[in-house]
Amino acid sequence: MSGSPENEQLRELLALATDGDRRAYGKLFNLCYKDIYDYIIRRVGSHSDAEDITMQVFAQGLKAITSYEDRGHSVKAWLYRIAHNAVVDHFRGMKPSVDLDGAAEIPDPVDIERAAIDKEEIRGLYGEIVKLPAAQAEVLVLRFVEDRSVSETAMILDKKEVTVRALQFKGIKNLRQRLEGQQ
Amino acid sequence: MMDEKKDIDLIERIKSVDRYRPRAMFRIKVAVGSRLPSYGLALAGRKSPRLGWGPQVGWTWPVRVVAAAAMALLVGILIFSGLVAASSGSLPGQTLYGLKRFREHVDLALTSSPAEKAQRYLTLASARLAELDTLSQKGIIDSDSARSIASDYAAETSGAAKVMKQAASPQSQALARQLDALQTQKDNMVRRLAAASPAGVLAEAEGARVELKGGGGQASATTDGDGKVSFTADVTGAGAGGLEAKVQADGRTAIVPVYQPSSGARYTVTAEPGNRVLKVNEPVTFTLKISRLDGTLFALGQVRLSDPTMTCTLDGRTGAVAARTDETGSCAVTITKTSVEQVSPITLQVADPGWVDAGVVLRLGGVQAPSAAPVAGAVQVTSAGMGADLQQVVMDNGLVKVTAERSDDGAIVTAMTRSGSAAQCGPLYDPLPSQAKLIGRSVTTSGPRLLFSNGRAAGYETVLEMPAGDGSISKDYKVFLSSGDRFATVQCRIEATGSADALFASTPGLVCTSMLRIPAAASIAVGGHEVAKPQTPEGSTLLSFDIGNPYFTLTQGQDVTVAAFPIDSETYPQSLTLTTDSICPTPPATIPADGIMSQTMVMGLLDKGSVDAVVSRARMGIGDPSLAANTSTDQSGEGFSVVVDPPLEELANGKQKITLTVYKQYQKVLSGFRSQ
Repeated sequence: MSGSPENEQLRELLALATDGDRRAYGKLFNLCYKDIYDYIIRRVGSHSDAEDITMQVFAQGLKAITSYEDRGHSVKAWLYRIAHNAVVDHFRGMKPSVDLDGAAEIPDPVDIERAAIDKEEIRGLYGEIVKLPAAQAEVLVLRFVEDRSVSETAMILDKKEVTVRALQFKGIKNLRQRLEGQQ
Repeated sequence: MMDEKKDIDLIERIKSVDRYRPRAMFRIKVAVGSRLPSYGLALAGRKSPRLGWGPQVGWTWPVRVVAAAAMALLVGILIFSGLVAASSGSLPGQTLYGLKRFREHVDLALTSSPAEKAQRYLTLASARLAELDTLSQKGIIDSDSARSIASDYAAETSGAAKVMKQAASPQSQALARQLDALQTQKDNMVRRLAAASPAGVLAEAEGARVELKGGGGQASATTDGDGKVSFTADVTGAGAGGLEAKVQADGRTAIVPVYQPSSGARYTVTAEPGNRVLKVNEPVTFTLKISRLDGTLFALGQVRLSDPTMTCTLDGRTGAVAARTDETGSCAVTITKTSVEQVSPITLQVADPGWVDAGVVLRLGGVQAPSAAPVAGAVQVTSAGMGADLQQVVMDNGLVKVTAERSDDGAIVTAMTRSGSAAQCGPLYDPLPSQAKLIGRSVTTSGPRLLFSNGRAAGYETVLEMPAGDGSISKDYKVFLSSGDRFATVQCRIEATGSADALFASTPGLVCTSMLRIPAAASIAVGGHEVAKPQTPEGSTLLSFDIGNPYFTLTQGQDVTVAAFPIDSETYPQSLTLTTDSICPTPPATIPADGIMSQTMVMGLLDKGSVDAVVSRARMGIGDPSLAANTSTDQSGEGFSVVVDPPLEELANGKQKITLTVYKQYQKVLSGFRSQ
C-alpha cells in the first residue's frame, strides 16, 4: 500500500510540505480528509464534532509536519494517528470535572464514546461492529473500513502488531457469532 | 474451515460498508482551508501563523504585481465570504462568533418594515436559545457564555416586543404568539439545563463561608473571588468520620463530604445512586447490591441500615431500618436528609448468619435552600414489593399520580389521576398479551421495576417478551414523571429477532404500542379536530397525519382533558388506529431490517387551557426520558459543588494544604434568565 501511486503523490506533497510549502500540505490534506473524516465520524457519531476534529487534525498535522519522520508507513497512516489522538482528546475533554456530588458516576470515556455512537442509530452490519468491545471495533474499522495494514493500525492505535492481530481475530469471531445469533 | 470461509466473507462485507460523506458546507471549508492553510488553522480554532507563500517564477514584475493584487482581492473575498458563511454555526467563546453577531446586527439594521424587524428579532432570540442548547449539549457551557446569551436574548425579545407595540401590523397576533412560544421554550430550556449534570454551568461562589470539620477539629474561612479557600488539615487525624465541609452562601447551607477513609469492607456493596448531596426533606430511593468478597451474592438475607449521626431518615425512621435482600442480593431504602449539620454515613450490618458489620456504604451530604419547605411538585415514589419483585409503583408529583401494577394483561400505566380530582386517564396497555393469545403464544412480563427516583423525577420499566421460533419479540417500556409536569413520558423500544418477521406478517398487532383506553363518554380530537369513533366493536378508523408530531385529546365533561402525543415516532407511521374503545399508533407495514422500533409518547391529565402548552413542551422534548434520567445525577441543583485539590484519591496522610473550590449550581446562575 505504501508504494501505491496515491501514496507516492502524497509522499511528494509531504516532502514539499516538510520544506515549508504550506500549499503542498493543503493539497495533501485535501486528498486525505474524506478518509480521515470517515474514521472520525465513526468514532464520535456527529457531523459537527467530526468536522471540528477533522479541522484540528488539519492544524495539528501542519504544526507537526516539520518534525515528521518517515518510518515506512503511509502518509495517510500518519494523519490517522493524529486523528486517533484527537478523538481520544475529544472524549477526554468531555469527561466532567471531579464533583463530589456525582463522583461515583463519572462515566468512562469509552462509555461516552459508545453513547455518542449510539446516538447516530447506526444500523446493519456496522451497527453490529460498534456493539463489539471498543478495542475490537476500532481495529476492525481501521483494518477493513479504512483499509489500513496491520502495522499501520498498530502504529495508529499505539499497540503492538500482535495485539492488533489478536483483536482483529476476536473481533471477527465475535461479529460472526453475533450475526449468526440473529439468524 | 467453514468458519474461515465465513470470516473471509464477513471481512468482504465489512469492506463494503458505506462511507460517510462530509456535508457540503464542510467540503467547501476544507476546499478553501486547504488552499489557504491559515484559514484552515483559524477554522480549527488555532492561532493563525504567518503565511508561507513560496516565490512565483516566470512572470515579470508588473504582471506579478497585478496578479498579486488580483489574488489578494480574490483571497480577501474568499476569506470574508468564507468566514461569514463559516461563522453562522459559531458559538459564544469561539473565534468567529463576533463576526456572526456583526452580520446579525447588519441584517437587522437593513430591515425597515416593523413586522419584518420584529420577526428578525424573534429569529435572533431563537438563535440564542439554540446556541445555549448546543453549548449545553456539548458540555462546554460556562457561566460567562450563559450570562452573555441571557442578556442578548433579553435584548432581542424586548426589541421584538417594542417594535410590535410601536407599529401594529396584520402579523402582530402571529408574532405575539411566536414570542410567547419562545418564552415557553426558554423557560423549559433553562429548566432542563438546571436539571442536567452539575458538571455543566457552574459559577464560583465568592464570599461563601466554609467550615472544614473532622478529626475533632474545625476551621472556617471565606472563599475568595475564584471561589477558593485553603486549609491545612491532618487527614490522618480525620478518623473514621472523614472530613466534611459546611458551606453557607446566598441563604443556603450545605454539608459536603470532602474526604472519606476506606473502611476495609468485608462485603462488596454497590449503591445506586452513589454518594451524593441530598436536598433536605426530599426522599431519594437507593438500591444496594451486596455480595461477599468471594463474589457470592448476599441473597434473601436480612440487613440493617443505620445512620449513627441521626441526620437522616431511612424508610421514614430515624436511626436504623431493617430490610431483606432479594435473590439478586439487592434491597432498596428510601433516605431523606433531615439536617445539614453533618454528613450522614450510612452503615450496613448483614445477618450472615450472625450480625456482621459491613461498614459505611454511603455518605450523604445535604443542602438546605432558604426555605426549609420541600420543593413543590417533587416526585414522591411509593412501591409495594421488594427489589426486582415490585408489585406496584406509584409516582406522584402533586399534580398527577401515575400508578403501575404487575399485570399479565399488558398494562403499562394502570392509571393516571389528577391531584384533588376524580379525573382519571388510562389504562395505557400493550396489546402483545392479547395478540399472543390469538396465535397460541404466551408472554412473559417483568416489572414494574423502579429505575430511579430523585425527587426531581422518577421512572420505572416494564418489559414484555414473547418467544418467536428461534427469536423473540421484546417490548421495553420506560415511564417517567418529572417534577411540575402534568404528563408522563412513555418510551417503548421493540426488538424483534429471528422468525418474528414471519409472525408479524400474520399478526401485525404484535408490534403495536401504547394503546390508550378511551372512556365511553369521551369525545376525541386529533390535532385539535374532533373525530367520530367507529360504531361497531369490529370497526376501526385510521387517523393519519401529513407532517409534524400528531397528538390527540380525549375530553370528558367541562374541565378534564386527557391528551396523548406520540412524539419522535421515528420508526412509526404518522397515523393512529381508533376503535370503539382504544386508540393506538398504527403498526408499521414491515419490521425494519435490524428489527428495532421505538416510539415516545406522553400521556397527561390537563385543564383544557393547558393542552397547547403541553403539546409545545412535549414537542421540545421536555418529556424526554433521558433528560429525566439525567436528573438522577443532580441532587444539589440549588446548592454547591465542592472540588477538592489535591483530588481525594491523591490526599496523603499527615498535615497538608487542601484547597476547596466552591461552585454555585448554574440554576442559580441562570435564575435571572429564568425570571425574565
